[in-house]
Amino acid sequence: MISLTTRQWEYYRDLIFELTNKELKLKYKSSMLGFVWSLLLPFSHALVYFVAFKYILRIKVENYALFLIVGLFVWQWFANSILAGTGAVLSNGNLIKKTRFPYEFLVIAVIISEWLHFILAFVTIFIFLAVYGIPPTIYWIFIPFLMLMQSVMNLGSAFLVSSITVFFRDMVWFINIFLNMFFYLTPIIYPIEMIPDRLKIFIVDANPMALFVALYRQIIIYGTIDYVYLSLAVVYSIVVFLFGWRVFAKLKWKFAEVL
Amino acid sequence: MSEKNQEVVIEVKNLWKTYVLYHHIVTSFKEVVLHFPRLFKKLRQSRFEVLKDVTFEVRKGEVFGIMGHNGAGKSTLLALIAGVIKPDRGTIKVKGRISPLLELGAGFHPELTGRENIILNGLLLGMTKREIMQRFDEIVEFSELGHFIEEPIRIYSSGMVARLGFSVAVHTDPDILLVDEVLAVGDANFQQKCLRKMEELRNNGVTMVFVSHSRTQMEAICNRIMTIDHGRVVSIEEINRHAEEKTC
Repeated sequence: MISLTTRQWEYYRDLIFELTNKELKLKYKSSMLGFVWSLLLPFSHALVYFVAFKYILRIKVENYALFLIVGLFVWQWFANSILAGTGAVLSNGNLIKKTRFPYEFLVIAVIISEWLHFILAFVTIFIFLAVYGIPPTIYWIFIPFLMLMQSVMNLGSAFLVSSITVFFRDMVWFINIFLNMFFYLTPIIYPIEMIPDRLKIFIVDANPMALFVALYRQIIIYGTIDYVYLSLAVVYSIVVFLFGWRVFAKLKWKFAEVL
Repeated sequence: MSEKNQEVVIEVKNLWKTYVLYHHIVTSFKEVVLHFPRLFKKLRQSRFEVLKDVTFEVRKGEVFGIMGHNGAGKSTLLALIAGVIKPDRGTIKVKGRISPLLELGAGFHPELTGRENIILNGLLLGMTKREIMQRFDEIVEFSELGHFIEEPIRIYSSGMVARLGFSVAVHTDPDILLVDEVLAVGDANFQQKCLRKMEELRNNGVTMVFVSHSRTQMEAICNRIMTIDHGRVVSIEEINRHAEEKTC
């Protein structure tokens, strides 16, 4: 194993802290509502889906508003991490060309910044729980673990898109289409139960986001947990992370030449 | 001078570097789809050798100059020593912490204040925040920015940015300083101050690698000058410094 000296620990900690700080500062530099915007987006989506699906398509889901909010927040976290990931390396070209530092930290900082947003958004879920009168259960202890695993997957995805975007700028367009399709093919605005059995293997079993959304809902709304889903989600996250990380490690030596 | 006995801090051996001009190859998806057959042909044409079989050593405390025309490969060589790019063939061994003075202020973010940029830049150069804060006042004082340090860099003049960039780079306790024609910036007074600071660092045993196309500037500062042309080393000459002993 690699052992780090105290000074190295201190250095990496400072680097993560300052890069994340920069990320957050630049994001809200001249916005009046700042962080509130990050909440308004998923809430506005939730409102529209609520009206469209509850009152027009008459979907039969209990506590549909809470169901939507949980799904949309979890999805938004993933989507935002990927979108922010596309610019993580590209927008720091001048730093990369000038000095050698662990470029991975640029991506890590973006992921931490998005995680902080998710945490703050997550707090609003508790308000909904109070309104619906849903009590906490013992399964809540899984929430931090679930967040950790999703962070691992988000990080892996961000490693992948951030390094590829450097060489292939059109990636941003591709990502937008991909996320849009992925969103509707993931059980976020509709429940898993509505998916025909023969499609479940693609839409749920092979889709880490479907698993994560389902797991959060089980824990928060239904007070239960599916351990098969959980194990699958862990495996997918680690695979995505390792793949993204390997690609990043291979491509990072060319960053300074291309940027 | 007994530099012959000093340890080697930069060792470059049979270094080759080929650039692939990625911009020539793929810029967009459209390009890939429409011109697919041409891609392979382009791939071959888009390679060009920047450095060819470059070998040299720099010893501790030396001021080493690299001279050559525009496009001779000087900046690529510096980037290789700084470790931001990798060679295709050959080896580079560098001992100690490098502080690159490549394009002053290139690592700054325009929306962050001078203070925030000092911290960020210091971290990217390998210092911990504590180490930066210990030198903070010194950095600000040297840069002569005064209360502007709390303002975002975007309102600075180019001279102010260069001053701050230089100040951070020389206060990072480097073992090796890489200098890429930076002295062309700033007013005359500040240039003098920079030269004095570098003289001081040199006396403290800091190794320096200079890149320039101006021979006069190089001769005044360097112990040895290496000339490269089209990626090849043409000569490495000792500069006899006994003749002129003037302080810059």
